[in-house]
Formats: sequence, C-alpha cells, structure tokens
Amino acid sequence: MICWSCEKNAGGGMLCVGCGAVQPPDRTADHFHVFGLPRRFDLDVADLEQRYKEMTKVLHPDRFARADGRARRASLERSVQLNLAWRTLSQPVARAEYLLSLEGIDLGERTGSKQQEEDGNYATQRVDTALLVEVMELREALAEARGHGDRAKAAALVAGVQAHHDREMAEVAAGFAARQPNLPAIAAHLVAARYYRRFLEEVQADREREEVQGK
Amino acid sequence: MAYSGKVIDHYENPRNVGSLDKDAPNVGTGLVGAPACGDVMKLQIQVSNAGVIEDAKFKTFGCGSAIASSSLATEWIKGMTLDQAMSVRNTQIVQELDLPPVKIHCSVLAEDAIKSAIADYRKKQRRSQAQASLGEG
Repeated sequence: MICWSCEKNAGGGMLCVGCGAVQPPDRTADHFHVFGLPRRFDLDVADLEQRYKEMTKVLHPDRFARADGRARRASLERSVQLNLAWRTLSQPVARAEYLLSLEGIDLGERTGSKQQEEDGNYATQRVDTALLVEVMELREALAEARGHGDRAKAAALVAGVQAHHDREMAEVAAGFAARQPNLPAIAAHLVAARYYRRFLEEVQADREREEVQGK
Repeated sequence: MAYSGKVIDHYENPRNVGSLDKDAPNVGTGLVGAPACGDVMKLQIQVSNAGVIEDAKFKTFGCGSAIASSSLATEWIKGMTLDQAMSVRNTQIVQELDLPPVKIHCSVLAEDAIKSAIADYRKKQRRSQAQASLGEG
C-alpha cells in the first residue's frame, strides 16, 4: 500500500510507517485480520480488548478534528470497521456465527428474511425435532409454573435452561478446537444455544415488565 | 416495528390456542422451528372419518407475527379436507396479515406446521391400517 500522504510504502498498518498518516482500511480484511489475529474461535478476550482500546485511542476523532479531509475519512472508516470487528469477536456467539459464515454456513439473523429467498440455506432448514420437543415442553412447564405462581419451579427451569445453553456453547468451543472441525455439527449446537437463549431472553423480558408494573 | 391491525388482532385474541391429545389416532401433530428465529410452533389437527379437519389447535412461542400466522392457519384449515389444507401457501398468510418482508419466515413456519401435522396424521393412519391388516391375516 502506498501512503496517500507521503506517497511512499505505508507498511500495511493503521498508520503509515513513514509519515504517520492514517491509512484507509482494507475492505477485504476479515474481523480477525483487523486485530492482526488468526481466524480461530479460541481467543483471549482480555487481549482483544487491549488491542481494541489501543486502536480506538489511535483513531479517536479528537486527533483528526483539524486533519486533512482524507485523514478524517480514513480514520472514520477505520473506526467503523474496528467497532464492527470488536462487537462481533468479543461475543462468543457472534464470533462462532461469524466463523461459520466465513465458511459459507449462514445461520441467519434472528429476524432476518433474506435467507428465505435462498433455498437450502441453513437458516431455513428444519430444526432437530427432539430439540423442538424439549423446548416446547420447557416453555409449557414455565408457563404452567408462572400460572401457579410457583417461583421456585420457574427459577429451577431457568437455571436448567442456562445450564443447557452453557453446555451447547462448550460444545461449540470444543468443536472449533478439533483438528478438523465438523462445521454442520457446530452449527447445530449454535442453533440449540439460540433456542435456549431465546427462552432466557423472554424470561428476562417478563421480569423487567413485572418490575415496571411494580409487582 | 409496526404490525398490521390483523396481526395485532390475532396476537391479542389468538384463535384456537391449546392442545389436542397427541396420542389419539385421529390427531396429527406438527412441531416446527426455524434456526434463524428461535421460535417454536406446534399445530395440531383432529380429522374426521371423512378426512375433514374438524378441529385445530396451536401453541406458538415466538413473536407476534408467528403467533398471528399460526392462529390464522388454524382458523383457515378448520373444515378443510386434508388435500385442501395441504394447498394452503405461506404467501396467502403473508397477504392476509400484511406481513413485512422480515416476517415472511413466520408464515413459512405456519405452512410447514400444517404440512407436518398432516404428515403425522397420515403416518398414524398408515400404521393403524397396517396393524389392522396384520390382525386380519
């Protein structure tokens, strides 16, 4: 990459190695590349956060308030890229989904519909029936416990679902750690985790509603 | 997101919520879900000897559009023959409920649920017929 400012080799980093001018981002870079990390599920989030903070400092808008328009634009584009990469990689679920998407397996957004148009995409495939039966029974049991005002039962169900969720995510981590990861199997664990998470999110939403109502 | 009036109506006053006896020979149960949304939908049909759907119930844990889609589906298929119910398309549900593009998958789930309930019923029928002929022979 040739630096836009000094017109010498910029060196490929955020800032030109020669003159220090901020360089526009490489749009083809994946989220791992943005942080200079290899593509892998198992990463040290504390290390990632450290990198993120340092890079954010370098790209801080205050530093470019009176800079050349090209430098301002480049720093802004870098910030957008960096924030998206951070949001994706700092969360295990998003990181796992992203890794699968890099391999062509799209689990889809929760409310997304673009997958509907492409037949055969994982997002539109049926979910394992045993999982659906289990989730349906859990939901019915929770509704019943709620109906009877049985808080202990409801709490036990929630704890159980949380444990299921954590177990599925542990399977995801183990799957990626394998020498030859079985990607469809990892995708199935991620989908199961999504179902359990959905259950937990709704419990959380109900709790917040009850707090608002002052129950 | 703004839901249409019909979605809100079905969401606030869902029709045919509940369960039928999944072990009954004249009841078919469809249980479906899409990995993209985390919704679960159960739709059950009770079929008369003449092959007409005399009752339909559903239970859906999901968003308003998923609940409305399954509520509408049960309302429609009651009184239909199995073949008529098989021909219900998600696009009809989309049209009736005025679903936005991001909620089309909810209507797909409802169509899948109808088909899977019918498939379950037919499987049960085949099994009981096979048992009956075994008994005769």
